Amino acid sequence: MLFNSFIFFIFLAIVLPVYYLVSKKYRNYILLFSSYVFYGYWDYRFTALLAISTIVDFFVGKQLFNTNNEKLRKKYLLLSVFVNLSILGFFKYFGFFVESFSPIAAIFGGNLDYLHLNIILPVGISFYTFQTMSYTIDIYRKKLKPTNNFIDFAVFVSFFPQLVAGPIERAKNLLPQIALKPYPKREQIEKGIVLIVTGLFKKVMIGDTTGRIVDHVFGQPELYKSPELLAALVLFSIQIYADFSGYSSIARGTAKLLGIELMKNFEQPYLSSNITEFWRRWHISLSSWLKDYLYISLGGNRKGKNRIYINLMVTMLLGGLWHGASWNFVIWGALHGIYLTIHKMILRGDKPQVNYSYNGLYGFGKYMIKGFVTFSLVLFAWLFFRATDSETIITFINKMVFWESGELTYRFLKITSTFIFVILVFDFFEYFTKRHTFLLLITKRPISIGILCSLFLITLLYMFQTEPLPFVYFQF
Amino acid sequence: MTTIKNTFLFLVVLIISFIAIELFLSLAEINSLSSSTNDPVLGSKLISGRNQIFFNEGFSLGKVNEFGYLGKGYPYEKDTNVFRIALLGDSYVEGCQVFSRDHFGTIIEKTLKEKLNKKIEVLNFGMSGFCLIDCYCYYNNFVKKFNTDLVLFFVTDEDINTLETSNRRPKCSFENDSIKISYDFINNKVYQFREQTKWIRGKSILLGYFLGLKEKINLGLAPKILFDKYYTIFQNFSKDEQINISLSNKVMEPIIKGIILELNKQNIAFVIKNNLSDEYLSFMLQNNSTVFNPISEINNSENKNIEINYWKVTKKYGHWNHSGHQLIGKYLTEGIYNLLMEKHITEPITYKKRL
Repeated sequence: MLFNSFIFFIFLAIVLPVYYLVSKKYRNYILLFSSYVFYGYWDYRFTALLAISTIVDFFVGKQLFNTNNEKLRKKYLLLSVFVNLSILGFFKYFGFFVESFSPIAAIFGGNLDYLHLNIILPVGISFYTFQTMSYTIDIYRKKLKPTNNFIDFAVFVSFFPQLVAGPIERAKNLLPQIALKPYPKREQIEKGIVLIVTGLFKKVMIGDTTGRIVDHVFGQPELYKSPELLAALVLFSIQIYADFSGYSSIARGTAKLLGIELMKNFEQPYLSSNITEFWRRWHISLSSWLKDYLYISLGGNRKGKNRIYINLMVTMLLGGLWHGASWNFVIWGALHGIYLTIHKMILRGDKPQVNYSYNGLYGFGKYMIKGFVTFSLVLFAWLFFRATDSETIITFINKMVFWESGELTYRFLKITSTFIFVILVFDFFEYFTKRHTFLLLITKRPISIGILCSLFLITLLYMFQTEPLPFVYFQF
Repeated sequence: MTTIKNTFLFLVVLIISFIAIELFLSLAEINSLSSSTNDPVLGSKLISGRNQIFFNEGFSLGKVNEFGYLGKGYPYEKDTNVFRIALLGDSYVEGCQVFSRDHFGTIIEKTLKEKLNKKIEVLNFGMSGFCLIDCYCYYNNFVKKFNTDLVLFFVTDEDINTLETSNRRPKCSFENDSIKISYDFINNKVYQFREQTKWIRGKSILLGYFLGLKEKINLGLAPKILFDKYYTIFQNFSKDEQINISLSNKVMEPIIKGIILELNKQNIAFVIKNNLSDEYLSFMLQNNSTVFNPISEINNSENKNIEINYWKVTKKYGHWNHSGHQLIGKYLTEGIYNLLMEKHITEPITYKKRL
C-alpha cells in the first residue's frame, strides 16, 4: 500500500479508531493484523517472508539470552544472520550475481542462463531484514534483553508505518514503546498530522512532479541538450530527497498517531558543509546502522589509519549494494567511500563541522562555498545512482564536457530553481528551528491550520489527477 | 468574537497559501494553464505566448507562438523566396509528446531547406481532437491568412468518419451544392459556460484541478481512484462489460466528399497518418487529390523492429514517438521534394502514383 494513495488514508481511517477504541491488551493484535494487511495489499504471498524472519529471530533472540556458551551463542547469531541474509540474497541479489558471473562462466565454457529465475523483489525486504538483524546482534552484544512477548516482537518487525521503507528502527527504541501499547498524546497527534501533511506534500508535489521530468530525461538522455541534462540531475537530487524524506515524515507522523516515536531519517542533508556531515543527515537510520553493525564490526577507528580508510570503503561499498543489486549502486557507494576517506584524511583526526551557526559574512561565505562543493560531489554521485546503464552515464558526462546549449535552457532553469527554492524553504525552517514540525511553533493556530489545510487539499487534488508514483526507496 | 476572528484569520491564511501554491505550480510548471480559449469564429483558439507542459506517453515543453499556433512563429505575410507549408490535423500533428525541435515539421523544415536550397517555413496548426471537418473550418477561418504554398491535411478513417465535431467548434453543411460553415456553437451551454469562466480558467491551475476533479467524478472514475484494486465492489456493472465505440458506417457522407473536392482545388495534399479505407482512398485518387501514404514506410520500419508508437520510458503505446517523427519527417521531405520537382519540371502533379 502506498502512503500517497487514497486507499492508505481509508486504511488509516479504519485502523486508528479501532486502535484507539479497543482495550489496551488487544492493541498490538490490531497493529499486527493491520501491518500484515498493509504489506499483503501489495502481494499477500510475501507476508510469509515476514513471518519467517519474525519466528527465527524471536527464537534466536531468546536462545542468545539464555545461554552463556560463547560458541553456541555465535552459532545462534550465525543462524539468524544466515536466514535473513539468505532471504535477502536470494530475492535481491541472486539475479545480479548470476548476471555478473555469466561472462566469467562463459570463459570456462559454462552457461548460467538456466539460473535466470525472474525473481520478484519483495517490497521493503532490505529494511525489515536489517531491522530484525539488529535485534539479534544487539542481544548477542549484550546491549539488549529479548522480549518474551511474541506479538510485541512480530509488531516490531512488521510495524506498518516503517515496514517498507524505514526508518530502520532499533529494538532498543521501538520494542519498549510497542510493549507499552501507548495511546497518543495530544502533542503527538498534532505533530503527527503536521508530519503527514508536509511529508505528503513533499512526496507528491515535489518528489513526483520532479520525478516525471527525471524519468523522461534519464530514459532517453540522447534527446536532450546539456543544460536540460544538468537540470534533470539536479531535479533528481530534489526528487530522491523529497520522495524519501516525505515518506519518512509520513511514517513518523503515522507512528505518532499510534503513540509511537520513530527516529528522524533526514536532517536537511543538502545544507551540509562537508561529506561527513552529509552522511549524518542523509538516511540517518541506514548510515547509523551501517556504522554500528558493519563499520564497528570491521574494527571501526580502532585499528589504525589505513584500516579506517579500508573500513570506510568496505562499509560504503556494501551500503551502495544494499540499495540495489546493480553495479551503478556499487559505484555510487564507492564514490561516497572515496569522498569520506579523503575528508577523513583532510581532517587528520579533527572532528568535522556538523552544524552551521552564523559568525559573520566571511564565515557565511566559507559555509556557502563548502556547501556548494559538498552538494556538487553528492550530485555527481547521484548520476551513477539514477542511471540504469553505462550508456546513460557516458551520454551525460559527454554532454557535460562538450556543452551544447538549447532553446529551452531558460525554462528548465526556471523549473529547477523553483523546486530548489521550495525545498530550501522547508529545509531552512527545519534547520534553524531544529524541528520537522516547525509549523506548530506558530502560536496562532488558525495560521498553521490554514497552511496545513491548503497543502493537504492541493496535494489531494493533485493525487486525484494523476497515478500515484511508488516511492523511489520501495525498490530497495 | 474570538471564533469569528480565528475563522477570518484562517480564511485569509488559506487564500494566501492558495495563491503561493498557485505561484509554485505555475513557476515549476507542474501543470500548465489552459492554452486554449473560446473564439466566436474558431470555436477554440490557442492563446498566444502560453507555455505548455505535457506528460503522457512522452514529455515536452511547448509554447504557443505570438501568432496563435504551436512551434516557431511566422507572421501572416511571407517573403517571396520562402516556401511555406502548413500542417493540419489532430494530436498526431500537434505532436505535444515531443519537443518542437524533434517534431516532424521541424525535420521537414531543416531537411527540405538543405535539399531545395530555399528557405522553408513549416507552420504547425495541429489541434487535439480535430477531424476533417474541424480541419476544413480551421483552414478557412485561420490557416488561409498565412499565405501558405502547401497545406498538408493529415487524415485517417476516424477523422473522415467523424461528422459530429466538438460542440465548441463550427460545423459544416451542404447548401446549394456548396459548403457552408455555421457558427451556432456560440449558443451552446458548454461554450457559454467556458465564456463566463474564461477569465479564471486562463489564470488558475488550481481551478483546473477542481474542474478535473468534477470531470473525473462525472465520468465515474472516483471509486477507482479512491479504492484502487477494491473499486470493483462499488461497480454496478460487470467487469467484462465493454463499451464498443463503433465507427459510423463507411458510406462516404456527401459533406466529406464535398470537402475533399473543395480542398482539391487548392494547394493541399492529404497525408494518411494511420489507415484509410479503400473507399475513401479511391475517391481521393479518382478526384486527383494529392495523397501521401507513409503506411508502407511505417510497415517497413516495424519489420526493422522500430516501433513508432511505443514509448519506452512510460511503456505506453500512443502517438508517434521520436522515431515516428523522424520517419514521417523524412518521408514527407522526400515526398514534398518530389512533388515540387514534378510540379516545376514536368506536368501538373498527380501525386497518386506514389501509392
